[in-house]
Amino acid sequence: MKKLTSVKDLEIVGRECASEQLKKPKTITVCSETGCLTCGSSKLADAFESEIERQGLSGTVSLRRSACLGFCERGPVSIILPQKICYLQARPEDVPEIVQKTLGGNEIVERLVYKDTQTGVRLACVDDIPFYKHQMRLLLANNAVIDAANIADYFAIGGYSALGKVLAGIGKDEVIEMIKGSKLRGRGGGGFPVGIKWQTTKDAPGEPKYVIVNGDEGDPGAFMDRSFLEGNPHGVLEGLIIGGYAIGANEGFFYIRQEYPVALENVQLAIEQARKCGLLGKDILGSGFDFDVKIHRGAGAFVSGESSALMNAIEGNVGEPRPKYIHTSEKGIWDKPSCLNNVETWANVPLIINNGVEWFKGIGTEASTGTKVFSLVGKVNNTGLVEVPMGIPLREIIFSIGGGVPKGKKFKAVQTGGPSGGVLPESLLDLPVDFDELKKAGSMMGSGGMIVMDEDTCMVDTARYYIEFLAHESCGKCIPCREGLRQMLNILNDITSGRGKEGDIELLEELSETLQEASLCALGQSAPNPVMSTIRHFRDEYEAHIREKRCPARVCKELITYEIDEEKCKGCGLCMKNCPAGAVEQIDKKQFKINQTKCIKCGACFTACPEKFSAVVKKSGKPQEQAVAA
Amino acid sequence: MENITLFINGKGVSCPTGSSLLEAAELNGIKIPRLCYHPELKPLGGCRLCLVEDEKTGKILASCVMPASPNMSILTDTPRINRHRRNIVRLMMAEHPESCIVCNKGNRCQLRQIAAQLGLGQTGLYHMPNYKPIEQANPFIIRDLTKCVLCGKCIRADHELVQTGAIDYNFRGFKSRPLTLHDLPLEQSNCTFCGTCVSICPTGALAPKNLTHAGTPERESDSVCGFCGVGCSLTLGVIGKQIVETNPSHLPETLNGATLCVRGHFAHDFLNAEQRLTQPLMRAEDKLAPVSWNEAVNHVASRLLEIKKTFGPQSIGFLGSSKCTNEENYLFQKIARTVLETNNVDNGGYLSGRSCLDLIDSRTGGGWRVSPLSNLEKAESIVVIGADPGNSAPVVGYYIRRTAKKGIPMIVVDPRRTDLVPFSTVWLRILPERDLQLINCLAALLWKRFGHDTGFIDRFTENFTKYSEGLSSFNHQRLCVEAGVDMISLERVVELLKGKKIAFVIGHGILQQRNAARAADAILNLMLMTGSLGTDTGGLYLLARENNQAGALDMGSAPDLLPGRENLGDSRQRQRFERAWEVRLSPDQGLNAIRMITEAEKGTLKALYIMGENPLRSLPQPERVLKALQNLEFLVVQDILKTETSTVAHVVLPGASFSEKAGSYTNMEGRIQCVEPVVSPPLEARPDWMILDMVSEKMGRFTRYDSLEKIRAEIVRHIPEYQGLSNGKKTFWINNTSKKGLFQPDGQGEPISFFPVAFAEDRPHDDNYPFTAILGSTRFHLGSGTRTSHSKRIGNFGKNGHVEISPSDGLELNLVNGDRIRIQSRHGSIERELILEKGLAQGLVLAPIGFEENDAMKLLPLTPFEDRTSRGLKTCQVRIDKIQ
Repeated sequence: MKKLTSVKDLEIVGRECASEQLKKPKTITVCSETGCLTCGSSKLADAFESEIERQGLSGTVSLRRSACLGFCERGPVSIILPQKICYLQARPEDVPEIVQKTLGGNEIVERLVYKDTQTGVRLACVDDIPFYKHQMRLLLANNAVIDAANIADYFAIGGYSALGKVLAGIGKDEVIEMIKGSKLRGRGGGGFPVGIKWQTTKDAPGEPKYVIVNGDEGDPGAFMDRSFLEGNPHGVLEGLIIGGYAIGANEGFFYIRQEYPVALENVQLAIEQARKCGLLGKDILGSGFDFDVKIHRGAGAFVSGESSALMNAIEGNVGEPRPKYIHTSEKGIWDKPSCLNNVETWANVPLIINNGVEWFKGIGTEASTGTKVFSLVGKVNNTGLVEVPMGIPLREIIFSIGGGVPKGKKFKAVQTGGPSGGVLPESLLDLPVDFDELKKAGSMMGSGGMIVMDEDTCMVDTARYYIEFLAHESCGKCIPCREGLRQMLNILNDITSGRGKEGDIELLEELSETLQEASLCALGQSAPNPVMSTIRHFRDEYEAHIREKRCPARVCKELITYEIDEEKCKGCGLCMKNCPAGAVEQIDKKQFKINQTKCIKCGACFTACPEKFSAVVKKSGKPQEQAVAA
Repeated sequence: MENITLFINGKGVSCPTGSSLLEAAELNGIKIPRLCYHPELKPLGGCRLCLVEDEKTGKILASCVMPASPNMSILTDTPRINRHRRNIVRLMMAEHPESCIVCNKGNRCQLRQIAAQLGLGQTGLYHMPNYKPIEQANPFIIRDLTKCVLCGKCIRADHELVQTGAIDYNFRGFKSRPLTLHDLPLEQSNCTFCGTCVSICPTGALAPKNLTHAGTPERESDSVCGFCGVGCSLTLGVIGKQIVETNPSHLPETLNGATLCVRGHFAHDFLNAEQRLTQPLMRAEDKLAPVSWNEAVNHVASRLLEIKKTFGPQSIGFLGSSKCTNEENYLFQKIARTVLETNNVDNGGYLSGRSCLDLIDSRTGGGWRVSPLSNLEKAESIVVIGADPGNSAPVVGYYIRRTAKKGIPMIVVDPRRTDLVPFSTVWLRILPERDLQLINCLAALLWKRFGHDTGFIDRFTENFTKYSEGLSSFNHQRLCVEAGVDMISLERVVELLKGKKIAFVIGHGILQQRNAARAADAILNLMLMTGSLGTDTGGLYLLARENNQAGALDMGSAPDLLPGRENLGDSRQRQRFERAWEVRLSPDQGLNAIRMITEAEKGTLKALYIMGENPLRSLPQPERVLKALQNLEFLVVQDILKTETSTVAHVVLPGASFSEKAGSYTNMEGRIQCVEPVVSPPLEARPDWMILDMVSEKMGRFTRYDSLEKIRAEIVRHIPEYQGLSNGKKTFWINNTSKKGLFQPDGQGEPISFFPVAFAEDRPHDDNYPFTAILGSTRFHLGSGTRTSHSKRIGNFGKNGHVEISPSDGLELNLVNGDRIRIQSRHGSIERELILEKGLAQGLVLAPIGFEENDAMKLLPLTPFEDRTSRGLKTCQVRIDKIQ
């Protein structure tokens, strides 16, 4: 790709790339993101490549290894364009058939397309699949037509045209006014108005200024940022360059966690390509604007996602937050004005520039505009990457897009906002998903993690899990967070293992309050959310653990009992064979019993017992004789 | 600075712009609990105890980091805040081990204090300390990091105050601890054991290793460190009658703030040493036996008068101490001059740079004397020349590092890689004792590059033309070669210094060298040319080895100076003192410290009264000194410790250490600090001024003073620089009496003259002694080590007087680390173990002083400075042989 020296060059190259793509009428796109890669998408794509060659279709079919296509549950996902035929979980052995029928002809391989769970109807087109149908894919829209390793793909869909527009004649202030007008809010979780942040950094005294992409996505179960960085790094980079221009920064940073090797690789590649094309470096597109970026690899600390800690880390110091009475937008990296935004926030910028403020404001709600990408995981049928307009009810995400809870289990709760978010019960399912409503309900938007839980999930144990994660990730600088979380973890450990006592809930609440109000950074301040929200919505479960020594969801080992139902037991003895503790005893020829003092609650008997018998039962509460002894 | 007004607890208060809320409250007498805050450190905002509530927004703010802004309304003591504070302290207590009973922090523990203030007993939480083994292998600091509350004060003190970088946070979260790199023991890190972290630690996590006592001192009193010339403020912890702990004092605006050095912190063991002299001793049948004070004093008085009568006043010498107080020095020289009518009076400070001091004093009229170290932090540039403050005066080193860290150009001129080199902008690695050539070259280049301050030169100086002509005549290239530095580095230094005021820090590398006076001359010229003298952003800092080196001279404890450093040869001054003291004063200059010994050797000096000096250890050629002392008819030694010298005395009088008597000391900055006794002297020992008072009374020349106030009154009357002594202040500066215009508020007065450029005299090279030995001090010992060697832990720690050479020399001589070698000069030899040191240039040997009876002095000749043949006390030519 030659170096572009003017906005006109950019337009020309965009047109060229688009027409280049049209030379081959069909494209098979194979998702090549981490999720699908683990399901073998790499081998699948290789198979396509050789099969296309073998069947002599190279002239008419192109293969693209693309960004995340979202439907991770059924990966590897492949889409055939322009028909938008979606094949799920195709194996390399299916490839010759697909190539022959669909790419060579116009036939659909029925068995590989989506089958509606309720109606049993097979739906071949992407747009018909409920998972996609109910979404509003703006940021993710182009994933199927982009190969991250190829900047030409991005050019072909008008990539960098927003930058071109800006450099061709939108003033710096005007850009900031546009962002302000769009009411775009920070997607990293805080929801701070982006335009105001930009303005502060621009107005803050001090040179040089910096712009930073926060790609330290650390929430368990969240992978929105990863898919942006892996799949469409140019989209983020374009936003960053526009931000740098508007703010007056000539240097930018990508802070990406080391655990995202593909993201690191793709961003590095994107930067190199952009630099070659003259979209980074001196005098970008002949505008006189200089800008370049560096990648900083995170070393795996959750807290480094906090803006001041992240900046400390970029400076080469320990990634600990610092008090932010003076905002990082005024005094950030090396005490210079630094504007930090989340990956998704930056990715929104080109959209706003290209489509206009009014268009963007039209999406979402009054106070929360635009779309939000969620990684929908947990006990839900269709896990994956989901983009919806702000303000959509939770129910729609979980049931219409996510397809509800599997195996007919009952929905119990949904956790939003990552480890420091909160848990929302069924009664709040109609809550519109936006920054303010979630906060009111005791959770938060966070960066977009969404974990669905069914009836088999113990809420105390869930809280314990998150507190354990946070206690491990606390940087240790301030005492409430460092020590408070350890205390809370200990209390929760006690409750889940049957040692809970009266007053524990109140103590948890008291410590939570101190954490929320006295901690130094947002990690500590929001850390009690999992506990507070589970106490708020599921206090009875806590009480059951403490007072009745039982776990209603039958999760906490110490508070459940395995028994063999004499009526149902057919005496096959599988439970005894599988018990690692020798706890299953044979009473007579056909009767088995579990010796509760020996039982280690591993559940091996429960799993071993054939489903048709279901003689081993899991009961909530401590074993009877043990309870008496205790 | 502008003030802002805000409301704290409903009361309108004001504070300077930029204050934090905590500082604003503090300034107005409102105490906010806190643990990680320290006024000298950047705020951390970690402990969260200093929370306050914003009345308007209801927000909770950490007051140590929140800047005060106008019209804020802050509540410091609401139930909500207190609830959080209590919870935070409960959390900390739950993490803390239950070892309070045996913790030496005792009631000084800030965690305990805050818990008590908040009325907390039981935490009601899980007790889960983060156990870590106690580390106490080193002899100074015990690290019990289980007690660490992670306030980060030690780390910040290390990074911000002393700039050593020995410790930092390791690990994350509750496992996080302040540790050395790779969690090695302290002694394997670059820790200097300055102990600053120990004193600043709010809990017992870092504690001094107490050799004699365990537990908390019963009481604490302020004092001033008795070691080097910096004069740090101390707080001495006392149990019974013994000093058991030393910390930086908590007084405001001390020169050392929260810092100290390893000596100040840990080398005061000599105060309780077995070798302390506790009763008067008199020689009888070749043995020193205890006698009463009456008997001893009578004997001293009568013997001295007798010898004066028989051999004349010139046969008696008085060797005083640069460690004794101003009052004692005044009295000491007064006895010599008025009772025994001799000018044979000197002090140990003679060995460190008299010639430089005289020269600078006379050229500036003494106007340079007030040079607060705090100004070093305002300097525009710093040149450290011939000084290794990291070892000789560590607290000065901290100042320089802090300034250099801010990006101020700092140039180190030294043949050795001192610990300031890593902080320096440029290190000019000159050949030993070629400082004069370097300064000349630097001055010439600055002149050539228009680096001179014309305004200053015109206004305050004279004879610049002649000087500048001299500068123009230099051949830079040749001077560079002579100095052993490359032209490129020097040009860089010139670029860095051009147009800036320069603060010169000068150490014993200059003060004790052969070309000392000439080098000082050149430095002064350079300072005048750049306008660096008499300004806060430049200045002259002469390191002083002893705590009262400056004061002893001020008091006239010198053979050629009267009190107030007045020249004895000046008849007007002499007459003034003759009238005041009602005696005739001899106009003849007396004997200096070295000549007293050489005259005793010859037999012309018959009696010597030594106060607080140990010439057998501090002077060159100890064997000759011993013979000389043995040659005396009468030797009185007044000291606090049994020393090499006291064992050969006829009478030994037990004195008091700095912690046991009142008095004043004058430090290198020109700051006079008064101290009060913290404990009483051991057994029968007495403050030195009392002993002198008794002796003089017995000799019947003047009536007893009986009180320090009377001596002070006389000092105030005769020495205008010491007017401050009369106003009862604890700390004050010497008065400026210079008539030079530069030092007058209105700038009117005499000009300071440029001296014509001086050239160095090189000594002929002796091929038999191919190496140049530098006699350097280490931070563990002070000077000759008389006092510090009484600290076993100091003696046993680290390098034990090892001699250092460069690895390439080691290779050539087939020597390896640990080899035992003999270092031989023309005057004597010593034996030592060897260390190969990368930082040392080829041809150099570093022989540390203070070790093994300070026998390094054997290498030097016993020649007075003013002697043309004197080689100085800093270097000598030596040869190295391996001992098989």
